[in-house]
Amino acid sequence: MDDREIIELYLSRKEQAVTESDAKYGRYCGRIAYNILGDIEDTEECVSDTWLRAWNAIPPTIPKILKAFFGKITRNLSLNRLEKEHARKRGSGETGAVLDELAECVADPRAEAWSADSVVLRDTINAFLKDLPAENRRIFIRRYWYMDPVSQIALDERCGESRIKMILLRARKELAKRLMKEGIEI
Amino acid sequence: MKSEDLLRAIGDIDESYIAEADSGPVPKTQRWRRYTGWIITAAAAVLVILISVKLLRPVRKSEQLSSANAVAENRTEKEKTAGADYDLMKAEAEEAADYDVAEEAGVEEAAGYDVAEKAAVEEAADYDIAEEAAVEEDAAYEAAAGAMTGDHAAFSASAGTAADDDTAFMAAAGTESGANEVSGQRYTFEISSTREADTAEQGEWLDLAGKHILIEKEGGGIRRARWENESGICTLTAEGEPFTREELEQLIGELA
Repeated sequence: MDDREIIELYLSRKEQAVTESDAKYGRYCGRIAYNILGDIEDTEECVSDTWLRAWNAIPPTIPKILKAFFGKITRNLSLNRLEKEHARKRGSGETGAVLDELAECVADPRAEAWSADSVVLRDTINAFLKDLPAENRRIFIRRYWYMDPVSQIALDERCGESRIKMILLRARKELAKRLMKEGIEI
Repeated sequence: MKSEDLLRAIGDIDESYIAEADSGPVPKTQRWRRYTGWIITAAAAVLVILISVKLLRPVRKSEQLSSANAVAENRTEKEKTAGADYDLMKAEAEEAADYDVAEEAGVEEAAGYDVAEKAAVEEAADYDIAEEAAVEEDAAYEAAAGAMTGDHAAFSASAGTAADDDTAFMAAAGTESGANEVSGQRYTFEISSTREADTAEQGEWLDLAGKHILIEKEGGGIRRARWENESGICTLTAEGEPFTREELEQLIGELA
């Protein structure tokens, strides 16, 4: 079943929509959740919560790319669960490592307030991604959105981990420049 | 801003980037594969060119053949013309050669005719001499008989006529001759337009009566004398006894 038909099922409020979504994107969402949480049970719960959240969102929201839409929900749910259940406990999945790496891009990792406008920040990151080469953009998103391990990225990209790490380091530096240039507090 | 905030902000990026990253890396094409399209295009172009060239070649070949045929025809025409000219020239040359041959043959024939004519003249001269001898013999016989009859006169007259006829004949042949008698001495005198004496005759040369004379001696006298004057070669031949030098000088003076 294609995405259009699944969306139609959501719009028509048919429960078959959840079944079809799980059949088609359950594995995908499970990977995202597991990368963040590092636990199978939490992952399954996050994935289940994803279909519920989608059922509530559609309608009125009509996703352009259903796969990314489900992925975003799963990611946010996973991060929320991580915050809630582990209370900044690092050690599960790739989240701790990812947060440490992204800390290079912020001035005070321990600051409580997020003063920057989320929309400006999103646009700045989108512009930064747009200017990146396709390969580097793909590696950056796989690491900081999907939170895939460097080893897995290197395997999929058919290159060494050091090369992946080097690409990520340069990308982070470039992102920090962009954020500073846009006046975002870092 | 905390790193967690940045992580969440990254989660809000454009969905197209999210889908693009999940699709996995684009399989790296080998270097030569990048040019596959160009290679195929170039090969197709070369193929099209080859086919068009191959298709056009027979047309050009036929055109060349037609032009070559035209040239060959022109050449053939020229060769024909040249051949005709050559044939004409050859015919003319052969004709000229034939003409030369004919002319040569004509010359030779004319020479043969001259020779024959000369032989005829000589034969006629011999005939005259023989006739004269016969006449003289008859005259001598009649003189010995001591009788001068009308028949003899008639005979002499007829003999003289015959002699005149011979003279006329000889004159017609370019020779004049006559039988005369001086001081009882009979002789023959010929004038020939040919100059055979210069080459054929042999003898002794004398200067008599203002002329350069070739003489043939016989028995202490002169049997024949030849010299040249305006009319030709004069030959004086003694029929009986040979001439003495005085008789010959007198005869030449009279004849001149």
